[in-house]
Amino acid sequence: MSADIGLEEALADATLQATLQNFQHRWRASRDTAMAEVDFDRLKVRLKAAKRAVLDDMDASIAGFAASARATGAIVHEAATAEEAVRYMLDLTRNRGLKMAIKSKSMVSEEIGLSPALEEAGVEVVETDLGEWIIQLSGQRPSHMVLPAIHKNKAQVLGLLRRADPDLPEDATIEDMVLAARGYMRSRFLAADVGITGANAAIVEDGRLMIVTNEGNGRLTTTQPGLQVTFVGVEKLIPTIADAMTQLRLLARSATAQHMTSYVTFFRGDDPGRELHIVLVDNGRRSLRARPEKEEALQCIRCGACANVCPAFQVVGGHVFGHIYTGAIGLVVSPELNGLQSVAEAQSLCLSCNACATVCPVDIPLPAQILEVRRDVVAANGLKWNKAAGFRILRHPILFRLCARTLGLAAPVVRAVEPMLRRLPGLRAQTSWRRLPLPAARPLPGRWRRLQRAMDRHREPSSPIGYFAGCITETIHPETGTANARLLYRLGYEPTLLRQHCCGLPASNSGDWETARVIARQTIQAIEASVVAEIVSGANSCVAAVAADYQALFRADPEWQRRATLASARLVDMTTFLARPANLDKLRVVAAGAAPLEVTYHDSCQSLTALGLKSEGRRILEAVGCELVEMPTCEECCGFGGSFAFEHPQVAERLAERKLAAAKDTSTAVLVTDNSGCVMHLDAAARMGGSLRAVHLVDLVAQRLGANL
Amino acid sequence: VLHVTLASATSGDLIGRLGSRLESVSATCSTTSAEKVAAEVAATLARAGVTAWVAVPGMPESWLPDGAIPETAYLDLARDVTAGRLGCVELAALAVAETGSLMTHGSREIRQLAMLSDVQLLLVRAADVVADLDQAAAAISAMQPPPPHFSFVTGASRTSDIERTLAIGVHGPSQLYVMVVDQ
Repeated sequence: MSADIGLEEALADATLQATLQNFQHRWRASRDTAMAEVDFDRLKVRLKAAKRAVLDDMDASIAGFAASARATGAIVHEAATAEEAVRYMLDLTRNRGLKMAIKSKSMVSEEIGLSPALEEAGVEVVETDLGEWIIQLSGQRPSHMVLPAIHKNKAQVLGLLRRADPDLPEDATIEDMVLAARGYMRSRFLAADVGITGANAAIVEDGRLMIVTNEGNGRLTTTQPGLQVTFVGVEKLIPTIADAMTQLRLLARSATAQHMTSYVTFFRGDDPGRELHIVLVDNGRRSLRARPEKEEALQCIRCGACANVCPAFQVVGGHVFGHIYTGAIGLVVSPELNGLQSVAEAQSLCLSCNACATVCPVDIPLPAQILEVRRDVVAANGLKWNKAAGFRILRHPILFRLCARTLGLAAPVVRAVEPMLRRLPGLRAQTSWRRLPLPAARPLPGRWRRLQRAMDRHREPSSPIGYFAGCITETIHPETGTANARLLYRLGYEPTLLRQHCCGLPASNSGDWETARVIARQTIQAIEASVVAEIVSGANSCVAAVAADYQALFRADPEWQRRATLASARLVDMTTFLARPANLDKLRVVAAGAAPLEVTYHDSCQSLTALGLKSEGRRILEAVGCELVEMPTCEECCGFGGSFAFEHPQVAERLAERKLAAAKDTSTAVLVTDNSGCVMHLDAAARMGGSLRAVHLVDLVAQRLGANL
Repeated sequence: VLHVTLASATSGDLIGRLGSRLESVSATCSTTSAEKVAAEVAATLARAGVTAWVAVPGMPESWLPDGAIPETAYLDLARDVTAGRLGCVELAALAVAETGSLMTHGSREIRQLAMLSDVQLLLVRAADVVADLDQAAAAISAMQPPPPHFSFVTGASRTSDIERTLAIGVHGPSQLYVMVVDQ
């Protein structure tokens, strides 16, 4: 589909970027207001239980729905594949001599390619949802499951509508366009000989279907033509009408931030004067059900919320981020529905920021599922050469350190030619917007030994504690490691540096689980070898990886899974550690008298969503006399995402730019966060101009306590 | 939370909630008595600038003012969206305070009248205002025979498909009036 927007095109389209950014911010604010009226967590549990009941015995649920629907007079057809579903419609078209079909919005019809097949068979197909109609006129795919034409501006829409209605003036307003659509559609509604719909739910208990539309086109399509065909993916089954009410409460709020959609229509086969055909589409859904780590995706109600909070979606839009189904859920379900290659490129755009999982109304573990897809893609297509080479090195601590050291020693040369690199077309995307993060000439272990000798000289009785640096702190920002050590000494601890070089996250995040397991085992062994019970770390992504990702990596290996659990229990992030009341009290005493300082705080994704930290970092800042000026977008991803920032530098650049702009709006000079990855990424971008600096929470706290320990 | 507190609300509270919900979607909700309803309907249709209107069978004759046109004449007018401002008056089976929704379960012919109108006026008996969607679901499940087709109507026909700008009347009514009839 060449008409769709490609990655380069999306990145170059400032209007599209502004549209998507404004939309996401407006949606988030009104969605949160709408969701605050209900008990989101309770409704989620209720809806999940209903969807679970269906998935527990999918075949029985499908048979149950088919039986109830047939009892009302509906003609039910089960289609195993897209081709079968389309063939059913084509046969009906031929047998009945159908000429014109009106359609209300249906994602499953997009999935199976229904409209092109009907058009080829000579049927006039009219998409009645305004957004879908615009898309139909443009020859594109929808770029959003709920707002198919979100990527079109008013002028583009007018150009398209004038093809259908040449009477529309060149200066037509949105109101004029909507009225023109009303006139055009009215004649089609009255003339059509078949109505085609999807369904938001198929209710098992009484064979009833539910359609939700704001325009009312669902109600009209299920009213006007005497013949109706409804295509429904079998994951839309739900046990009862009461369950459908729970779905409605969550769907309207999640999809459009409404408390209720304008028209919610329920229908079944015994509607006098009308004939109803229901095509139950499998097309890969049973295969998805058979994959334990992905089957929860079948609980999806297609609200699109996952796209509405996705940072990469905000930059590139749905034509790039997804396939037929867009957003996070699109990356997860498309391999089974439309083939693995359909999202082979798109899946690489997930930053693993977890934002989608926080708004999903059925709590689908989308980020973890996308990593499964990424692993499948790598297994099928292989790693890119540069990643393959990098991970080969990363597997061997000595080799990794040797490379980092060499690059660190060469860093002054790279720095000297950096302005030139920025002008090289092949490197511009990587270099134009940041100072390249380069290894330090002296990595952490050497610095640590020197510091320890100095500390040992004025040693006071203290409690031993382990310190897990992580690869970024060890090689690129070793000063954060020494700041961490000084801080721990100051609080009465005696830190020992863990002999560890990487947690494996870069590999697991890139779909190379084999390498990730090798490195994860090394990390677990390093933690096991530590004589001190508790180990702290300022690398919050690593802490989260040991806690969660290791469980997935060792799914087939209960022994290592057990060892990972034990290792994780000993590891604590510095934010949690410093926010303990005893440590906060000490911080307050030591920092008393420090000059006031205004700062702003970035919630790193892993801290916020994986470690559940929100107030902790802020309480620490307050304890050391900092005054916090919040950014409204403090919870949005900065665009780092591990190797993401190197794989998709232009997307990472946009997100860093947005974060830095928000920080500058606070008029503070310091952007604080507690994740070494975000610090590296944001500071590299900030140093291209202006006085704003990104600083690790630990560095700032150490500074506040005075460098002289 | 919402539907929990509504479940124990008084009828007056429920009607108040219904009204504020409808207002939030730019619909108009008023309360009237069985004696005054016919005059109120006439006044509302006039205020909405309706040029021709139809009444859906199913409500007491005394609730309707004079002047309704026959269904066939109305459907003829509805073919051309510029032919006038068409109104449709219908009695809803239920109203849901939680969401500000009106439940109607008319036949195909009745739905045509409603969906091809410009102004939709839905009446509902005060006793038929239920607290929340759960109560509505229970009431619908108890209907004998079960309605083959029903809808919750919560506002006018709307779209935000062009630049996220709200526009009304894209297919069906561009205005919704609700009247709660207290008997």
